[in-house]
Amino acid sequence: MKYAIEATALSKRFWRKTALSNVNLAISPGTIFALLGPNGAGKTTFLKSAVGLLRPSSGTVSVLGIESRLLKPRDFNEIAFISEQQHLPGRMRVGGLLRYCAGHYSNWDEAYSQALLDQFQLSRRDRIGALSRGGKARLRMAIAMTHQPSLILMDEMFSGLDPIVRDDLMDALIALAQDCGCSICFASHEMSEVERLADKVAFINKGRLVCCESTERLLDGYRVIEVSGSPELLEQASRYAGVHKLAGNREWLRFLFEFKSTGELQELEGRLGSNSHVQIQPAGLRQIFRHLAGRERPEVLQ
Amino acid sequence: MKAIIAQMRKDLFTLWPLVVLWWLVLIAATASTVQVFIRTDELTDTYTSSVWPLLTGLVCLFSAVIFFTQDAGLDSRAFWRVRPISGFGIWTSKLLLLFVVIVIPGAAAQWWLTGYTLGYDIWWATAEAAAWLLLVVFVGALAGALTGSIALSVVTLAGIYVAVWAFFSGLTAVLGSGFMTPHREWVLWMPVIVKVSIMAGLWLLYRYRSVRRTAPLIVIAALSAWYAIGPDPWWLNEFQKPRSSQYKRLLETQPEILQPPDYPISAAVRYVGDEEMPGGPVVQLLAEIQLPNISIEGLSINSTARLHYPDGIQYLGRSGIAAYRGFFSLPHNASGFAAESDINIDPLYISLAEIPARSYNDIRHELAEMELELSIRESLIFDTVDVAFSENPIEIHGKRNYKVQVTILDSNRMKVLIRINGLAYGRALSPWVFIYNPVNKEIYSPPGGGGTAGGSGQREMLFARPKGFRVQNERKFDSSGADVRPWSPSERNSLGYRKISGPVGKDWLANARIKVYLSTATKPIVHTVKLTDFRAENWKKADW
Repeated sequence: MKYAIEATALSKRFWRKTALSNVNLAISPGTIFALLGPNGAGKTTFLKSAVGLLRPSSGTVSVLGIESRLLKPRDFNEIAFISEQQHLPGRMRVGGLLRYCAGHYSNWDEAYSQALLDQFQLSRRDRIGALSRGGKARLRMAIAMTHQPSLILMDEMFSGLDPIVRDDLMDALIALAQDCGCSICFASHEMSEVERLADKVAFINKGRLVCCESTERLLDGYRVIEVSGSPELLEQASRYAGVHKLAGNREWLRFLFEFKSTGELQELEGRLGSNSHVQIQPAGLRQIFRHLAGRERPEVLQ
Repeated sequence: MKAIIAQMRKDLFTLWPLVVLWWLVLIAATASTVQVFIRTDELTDTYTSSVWPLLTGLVCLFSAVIFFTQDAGLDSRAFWRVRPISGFGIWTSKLLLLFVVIVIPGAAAQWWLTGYTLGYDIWWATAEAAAWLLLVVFVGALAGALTGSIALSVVTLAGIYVAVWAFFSGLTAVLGSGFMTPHREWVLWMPVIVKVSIMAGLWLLYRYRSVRRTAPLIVIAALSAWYAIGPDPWWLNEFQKPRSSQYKRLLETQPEILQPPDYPISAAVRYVGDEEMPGGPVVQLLAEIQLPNISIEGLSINSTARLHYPDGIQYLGRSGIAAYRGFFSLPHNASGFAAESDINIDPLYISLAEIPARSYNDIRHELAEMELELSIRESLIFDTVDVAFSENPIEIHGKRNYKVQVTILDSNRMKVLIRINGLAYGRALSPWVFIYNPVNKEIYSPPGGGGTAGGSGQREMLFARPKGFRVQNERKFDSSGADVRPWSPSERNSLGYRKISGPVGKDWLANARIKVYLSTATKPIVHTVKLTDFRAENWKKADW
């Protein structure tokens, strides 16, 4: 099977600092894949390695079946990489840049380009240097989508954008994925976008792949439970396996419960017994992210 | 090809203001240089002492760097890195565009400045300029990738280095003139090194410490530093003044640079005992140079003499002399001819200084213990042109890579145009024209001086009839043209020729011949002679 992205024992070191360590990951075609992790975890390094901007220290990473080191310029007709850090020629106008791109892409769709400009409310006469952050993000997205690639990689595309721009971009991405069946791999800190977009998520922390699950299964494996009862009971509950304390005081306790099967959840409910009040809610990605990143910080006991 | 055209179109649309700026600076520099050249007849000095080389160099440098760094070079954030755009295509298109809009116009301006001399040299010059520019843009692209101070300072260093080399000297200038130019002398590299250091420092200051208010000050300081140091810095003459310890050390460490001459030099003292002379009789300190076998066309010597006192150094002064096969001119407004067949100026005396006789009498015992140091820069003549005037209105003489065109405009005016097909980079060649009339035994040399720019360029000299002949030198001539003063040792060889200035008429020119000398400087020579070696030639103590 030809994966959209396949990393095998991928490692990348910058001098003594290890940015990626033995990452094994395979993203199936047509998947919308989210890379999550704290700052400096190695998400950008992974994406840059995938498109050949960085050379792996060891291991390999392939995109669309082509090893990243062997990517040729023509391969980027099928691959799009969008990053906020990417330079845009500020002196040019939007129309000029699109003409420039049209001269290079073999699968450039001029009609679709105009449709995207209209959708993103961009004018060909706009000077790129004068565009806002959101405007530039929309322009990057328009260029990436116009040639309808098989794989889109995005690095922190949604950070710092207002909700309207984010919604515009996400709607366009979802439409593209549905229409063309392209694969999307994006790194983000915006959990709401991840939950809305991603079929599958991977957590990277300190260069290591901590978890790689479908979004649905990941969310199903965690619950936020709030218990009120005697102090002894709360103390006992906080020591159960899979319990990660979020907040509480002598009268109540809120924690993230990680479980492999529904039986474990039922067992916990049984242990807490009838002397307490138990409230079980689905966990959000933000809470799971904090847990996986090892950044749980119990709220101050009141 | 489609990709290259797309890239060129994008660069042109993006950077057209820079291209226009480059053309404007180029046109202004060329026009300004030509205007001043017309007024002063000094192409080299005009160009190198003006601010235009700085402007053209900087604009060219920054244009080239911006051309290549605007696409962020090899930076991973570069727009083209993750597109179906090949680096080869980008670089090829940028090189093509750079060549078309920067290099070719620059070369064309240079070509125009050098008098339409469409010799092979201009193409070499273009190739060389392109090669240097390539170096800049490669470094520039690297700087775009690193965006660090080190790379940027390297760009500045390389850029200035290239600008100095490409616009003032250039390897092909050496090839064009056929001689090693003095640009390789380390004393001439000193200003370059200093300039590079200052500019690099100011660049770093500008990059990391400048705010909107201080940026113009830093730019002005940088321009001032460049201009003050200049290609021909005012302090260079001071620097070149020989200091005994420096030269001795150089002679020990780099004898190949300061190679002593093949012909021996000694010193002489001559008493000019004319009581009627203004200021009384004088004692001339002379350098006596033996020229036993001159195989060269001739030489010119600019000497600097110093007397070393036990408690310090006293600078005596400079003098110059030129001696060519069949002709030589003397310093201090005296000129003369030797026999046409040979130089016949052996020994050759150079007047170093004149000391009032009484003063010399007072210090002669001290001088006997002193040391005289000569710093001599010799120039080898590498070609001469001998043109005879006739009734023909135009006489053209072409030889090797130069052409001399003599035009008698009318009965009162004559124009001599020297064109040299070389490069206008640096000052490799110095042409000079003397017209002599064997019948009247008069020499006429045009006003002005200097040379062409690095082996190419043109000099135009206009001769016109004055209201009357004017004797140029301060010496008195009697009605027969004889100098009332005794001949100096050198003057004795002049066979009675006297130098006149001012225009000459058709009658005079009809019998005249013209000599054109194209010379290039060689290594400086330092020769130290003991005053005890002085011979008191023509000096009898009893005379005074």
